[in-house]
Amino acid sequence: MRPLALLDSETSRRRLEQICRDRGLDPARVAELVAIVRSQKGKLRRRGLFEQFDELLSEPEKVEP
Amino acid sequence: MKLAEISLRNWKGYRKASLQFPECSLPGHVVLVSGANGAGKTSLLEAIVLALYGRQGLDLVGRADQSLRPELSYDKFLERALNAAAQGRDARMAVELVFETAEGEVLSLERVWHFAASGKHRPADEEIHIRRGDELVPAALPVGLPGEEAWREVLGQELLPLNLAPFFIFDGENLARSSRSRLEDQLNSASEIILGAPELRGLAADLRTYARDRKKDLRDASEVSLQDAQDEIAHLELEESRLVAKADRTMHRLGPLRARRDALVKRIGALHGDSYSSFKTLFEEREIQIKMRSADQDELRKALSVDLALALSGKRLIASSRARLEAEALLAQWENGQENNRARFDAFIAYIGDDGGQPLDPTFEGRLEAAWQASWANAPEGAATETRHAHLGDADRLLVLKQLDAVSGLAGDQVSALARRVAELDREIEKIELRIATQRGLDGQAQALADELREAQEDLAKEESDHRIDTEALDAVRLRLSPLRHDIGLRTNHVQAMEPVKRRAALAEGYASALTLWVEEALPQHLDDLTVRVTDAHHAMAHKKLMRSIVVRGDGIELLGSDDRNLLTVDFSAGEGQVLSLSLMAAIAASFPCFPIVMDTPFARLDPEHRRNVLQHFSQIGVQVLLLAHPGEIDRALLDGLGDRFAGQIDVTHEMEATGVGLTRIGQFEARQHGS
Repeated sequence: MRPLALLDSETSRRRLEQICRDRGLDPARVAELVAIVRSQKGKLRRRGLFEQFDELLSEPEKVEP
Repeated sequence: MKLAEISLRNWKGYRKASLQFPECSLPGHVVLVSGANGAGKTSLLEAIVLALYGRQGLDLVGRADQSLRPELSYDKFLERALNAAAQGRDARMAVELVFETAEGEVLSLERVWHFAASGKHRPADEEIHIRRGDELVPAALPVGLPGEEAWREVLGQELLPLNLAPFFIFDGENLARSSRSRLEDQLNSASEIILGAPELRGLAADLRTYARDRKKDLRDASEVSLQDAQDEIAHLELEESRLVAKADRTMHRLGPLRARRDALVKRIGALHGDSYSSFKTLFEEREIQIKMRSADQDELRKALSVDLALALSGKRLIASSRARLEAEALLAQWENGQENNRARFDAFIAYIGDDGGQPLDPTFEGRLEAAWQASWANAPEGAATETRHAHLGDADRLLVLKQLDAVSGLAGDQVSALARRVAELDREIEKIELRIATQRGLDGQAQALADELREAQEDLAKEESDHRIDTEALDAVRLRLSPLRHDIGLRTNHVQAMEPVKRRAALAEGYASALTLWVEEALPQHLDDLTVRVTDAHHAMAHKKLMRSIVVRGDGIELLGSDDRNLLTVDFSAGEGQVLSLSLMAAIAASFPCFPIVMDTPFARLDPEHRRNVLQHFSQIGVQVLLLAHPGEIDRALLDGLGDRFAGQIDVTHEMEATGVGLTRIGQFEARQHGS
């Protein structure tokens, strides 16, 4: 599957890190969220999507100051 | 990604054909498919487009331009495309595209159309298969809504999103008419797709929906509702204290009143000597009658103030309300059961789907889903079809049913009976008083004592009645307090248990907001980047250097001349207009080098210098270029001038067979002779 252009670009990745830091969020988690949604591509019913979100968002946030 | 092979079955003049491009090892290789007019070049482009996008791709096919040929629907186009030799019987027409990814993976897409013997296309039977290696991506889905939507998502992710197709698949006929303005219109959405903006916006929307869904669980356990329950308990506890204090005060008054009554009875008895015993009996009997009257009066008052209105509303209304609530209780039980069962069903599907790492066959999954749906298709007999009293929880519903039970036994004639009984008791008391008066004689002292006793007994009866009412009110308050205290304990535990859910919902909203900001900031930057790319492409290809800059904006483009004048209103020649369109295509392709460029009759309107510049520029973008051109359109020397970037060519020819049916033949791939 094609990489996401925004995540693939160094400049926009840095901007994402800044945005996440400002909100106390872990930027690495964005790529994991994208991977979860992509795993549902082409499915008629996106079964288990929210449970996957539950699992990911239950992990402790790794936020650099 | 490179196109390695195109296989066609019964597609127009191609009965069974395969075009292979074995030498395309470099990403920027140019391949020429050469053929005279009518040889089948445009048919190849149409095969690529319709294999990729099916019905949605028709708009990209110049020969099916709906503004010129509105009668040519998708079905009609396909029926005409079916090879003549396959007509007159049940037939299938197929196109398979085989790609090689940058990582060396083989990705293939096959679309199959079916036709009845009458030649009619059978749209419901259309098939599409995408394979990565030998594996289906994803497991086969039926074509047709809503599966078509799902396929478009997969195609966009694996190959080329439909909105980007006009920048990669170039139909010379189409471009000559309306494509430039369409390309301009689509630049903004193309930019969004290249960045992955729709995907990230979709993720943000999913996260917001997730947060809303998880917050639904919090609503029942919210601190606000907890505070409401605590306030109600505090209010009831205050009422309980007030009633307890009042009952205590009444009890303190009852003692002296009873002592006063007993003393009066004794004094009257002493006045009458031996007859004291029967005299005392009469007084006790009178007291009993007064108490009975007082109790009946209380009941009558209560009935008149609270339940009578409801009771008088009619037994039918009470019965129908009761039946409705019972039906809604049944519905609620069924819905709860369905919800719990759904979670188990999803877990079951996930379990068998994960087994062995193989995705579950969607047809089988669909059947399981349908079977599950069927098992919950009908609510139990007697259940309501909708919930009208959504504000009533299970416990509230039971309370209301209990109250309806209580009043259903009360009717107007019962109220009359109560009133009659009070009147009878009044008369009975009067009779006893008459007998007391007769027995004690009429002396003045006895009369005064009797009056005092009657007064004392009435005071006592009133206090006892008040005390009974207060005690009943106290019992009612305590009856309400008990479940509330139990409930608040549960709610407190629930609120604590919901803390992680609350945190996850807040995180989801945080990520959704971060993603939205990130995407919206990136889009203008990408348009600036496209401005540079389009301008560079135009400078490289156009031999008249009229434009200083081609500015890409959200709503189109601006062509700035050397004096910053907007040149959009200038009438360009057909060739110059085409070079401008090609600049837009080149910029998008360079920004998103993920799919081959397919050009049909690209140079017909261009002069030799433009042809050379265009060919040079496109061969340097970094994507495979498939040129479909007739021999007179492209000078072999131009191709040789590309050096290693020209891979080779395939010739297509068309001939009529003895049967009168046309047949397109494909020659061997002729690799460029290095050093030639």
